Amino acid sequence: MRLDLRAFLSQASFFPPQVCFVPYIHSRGIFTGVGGLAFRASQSLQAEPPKKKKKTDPKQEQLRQHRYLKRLKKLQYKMGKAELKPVEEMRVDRALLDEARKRDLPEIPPEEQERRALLLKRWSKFKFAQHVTETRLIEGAIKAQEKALNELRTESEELYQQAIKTDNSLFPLEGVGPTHTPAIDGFDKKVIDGVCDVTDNTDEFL
Amino acid sequence: MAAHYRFPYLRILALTQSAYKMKGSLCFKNNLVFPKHQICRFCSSSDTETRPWQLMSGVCVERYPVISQTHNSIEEEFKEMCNMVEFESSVLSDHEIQVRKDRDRMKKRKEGELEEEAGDDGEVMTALDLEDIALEKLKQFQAAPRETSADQENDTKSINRKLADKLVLLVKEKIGDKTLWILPQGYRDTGESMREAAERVLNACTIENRMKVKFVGNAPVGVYKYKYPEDIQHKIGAQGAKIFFFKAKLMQGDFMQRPDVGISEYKWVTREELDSHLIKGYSDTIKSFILPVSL
Repeated sequence: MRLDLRAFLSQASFFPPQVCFVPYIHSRGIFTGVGGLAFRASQSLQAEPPKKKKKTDPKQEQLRQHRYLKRLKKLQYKMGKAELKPVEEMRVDRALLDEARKRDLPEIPPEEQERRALLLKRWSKFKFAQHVTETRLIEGAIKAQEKALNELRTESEELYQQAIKTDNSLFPLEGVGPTHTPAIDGFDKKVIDGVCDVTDNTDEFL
Repeated sequence: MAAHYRFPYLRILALTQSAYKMKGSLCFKNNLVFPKHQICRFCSSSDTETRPWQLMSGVCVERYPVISQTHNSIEEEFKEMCNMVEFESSVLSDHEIQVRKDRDRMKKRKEGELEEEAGDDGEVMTALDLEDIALEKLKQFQAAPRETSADQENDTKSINRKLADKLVLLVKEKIGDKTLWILPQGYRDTGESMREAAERVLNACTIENRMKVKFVGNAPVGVYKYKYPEDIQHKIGAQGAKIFFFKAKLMQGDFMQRPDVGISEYKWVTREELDSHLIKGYSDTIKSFILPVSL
């Protein structure tokens, strides 16, 4: 029980809590005590007792819910399908849609179109064959590992359990991917010594 | 097993299910499971031998490709087509628009239409000039060649050979009375796990801190079993050896052979060259877990 003067006063004296000031009680003569026992009433004590729960028929309740949901659905249908939010990356810059930017290129001749269509077909065949080979190789590798683990298990259960433990030191795994040309021998040293200029001038050209 | 089943397939299912639960008494052949108490002509009669197998760890150190593979003809063709399509469906870039503007301005100036703007020195850097400067700078840059000197000399000990392919370390060791090319291997000491044995084997071969590798996982990637000849079986008391291979990725450095170890030679070879160095069964086992770079 806390003496919350402001809230109490707002209730007792019709002033909203923001407006209420904390008065100098004795001189103003505002009544703050409830009853003669100097009983201090706080906000929580002045709260309304909980309302009595009315017995609702479950069927009635269900019907009411059903009708409510139906009304919502009808409203949604009237409003139309929800518009998808535009994905930031998929927006084309307004400046690029300008007519002046369009290229003036001749029409692609039908022979060229034919060639391209046939090339696409050959390419899909080639890529599929690659995929099949890759899948077979991976399956072979998995089988080899399973065979190795089975053999290890027949030898010793303890070694097998040690082998199937997760290796926490594996990740983070770093790797420098293949580039078109290898690293130039001694290039880093040249850069440090100031012989090679690697200042990025691309902003000048853009 | 002799229970009566209404549907015969359920009986087979029950058979395989119960057989699966029996550990150590299964026989795998052609993706079928046979419980051993049934007539199993496919299984090796390993129940009669009492001699154990010796356990060894082998290490497959791989140097991953440094440069990308060259395109084959269809890849080249497709790449060109993709570039053409992309160009055709693109719009002019800022640089191209600037080039056009500069060209028009030059034309107008020649025809005398354009007045000289105040404060114009007459020599303004056009977009084309910038382009030329950029091209000049590019020409000055010398990239390292894709085919190295090691390629030209065919130095198989070098790690700079065949930069577009994966290289695997092979060593030449004396096994029995023969010297064979193998992956580095060694016996497992008591109290070691197989991976720890593999790490020890590799450290024993090479001089300390010259080669930095990262072992990939605790589980072996392959197994190769070979039986000792009869007299050696009696001498050692083991039936043969099981070599469990572990993969390691070469992160830094190169293999520096320790002079005191029983390795007479070493080589870094590609997957295609494995067949010419190793014996057939061993080569097939290894090739299953060394995946090629180009498919």
